[in-house]
Amino acid sequence: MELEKELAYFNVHREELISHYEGQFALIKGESHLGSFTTEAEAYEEGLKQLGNQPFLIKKITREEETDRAPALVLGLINAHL
Amino acid sequence: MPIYNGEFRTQEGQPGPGGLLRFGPILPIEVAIPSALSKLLASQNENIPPPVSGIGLIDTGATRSCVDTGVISKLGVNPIGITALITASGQSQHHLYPAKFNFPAIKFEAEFSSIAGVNLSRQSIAGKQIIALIGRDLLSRCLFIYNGPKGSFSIAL
Repeated sequence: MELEKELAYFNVHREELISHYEGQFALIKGESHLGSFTTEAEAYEEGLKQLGNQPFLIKKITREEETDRAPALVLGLINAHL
Repeated sequence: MPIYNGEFRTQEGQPGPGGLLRFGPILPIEVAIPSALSKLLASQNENIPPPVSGIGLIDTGATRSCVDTGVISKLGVNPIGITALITASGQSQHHLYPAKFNFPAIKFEAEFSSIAGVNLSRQSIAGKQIIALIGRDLLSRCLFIYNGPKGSFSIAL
């Protein structure tokens, strides 16, 4: 899956990043930390500026891993065929 | 504050719960590239892909808004993250994308730092594809009224 390498880098360096930038958003490409930013939008703009329109990781620097929920996707509740 | 009023009626033209019960609170939507990417492409004299039109479904069960992966890929937007998405059948990994939702009926735009890419390709209503789920990230900034018996809803964005 695209960005797995960047995610692995983040996980290896998570504690180090937390010690300096907790709560900010890290911009990572490959195995390089390109900066940390106050908002996700700022990180995206900087990523576009430095790298252009290509995949890069923006990850909130926290200990907790956030999960998302979308139960209707599988329950078929949005499956409307006429 | 722009307000979208959705309403379903019976074949006799009367308000009723059937349509809303069957299809849910849906509204016309366009998925567009994020403004930051538009600016970059414009500065490089590259073509800005036009928004993709379809149907958006208000999904109060979704923590984060979602976009069809085919649509966001067609727009040329690259992923910026990976999220663990929990559904009724378990947990799976999905890419995150920056995107913009346009609501043409009320001339309103919502810019998202990141929404989840999911496969909505088989979800359609009357031949129009559902291309986005409007989750609680956007709803946290809205007033949403669901009138089941009358088959209507209103959302103030």
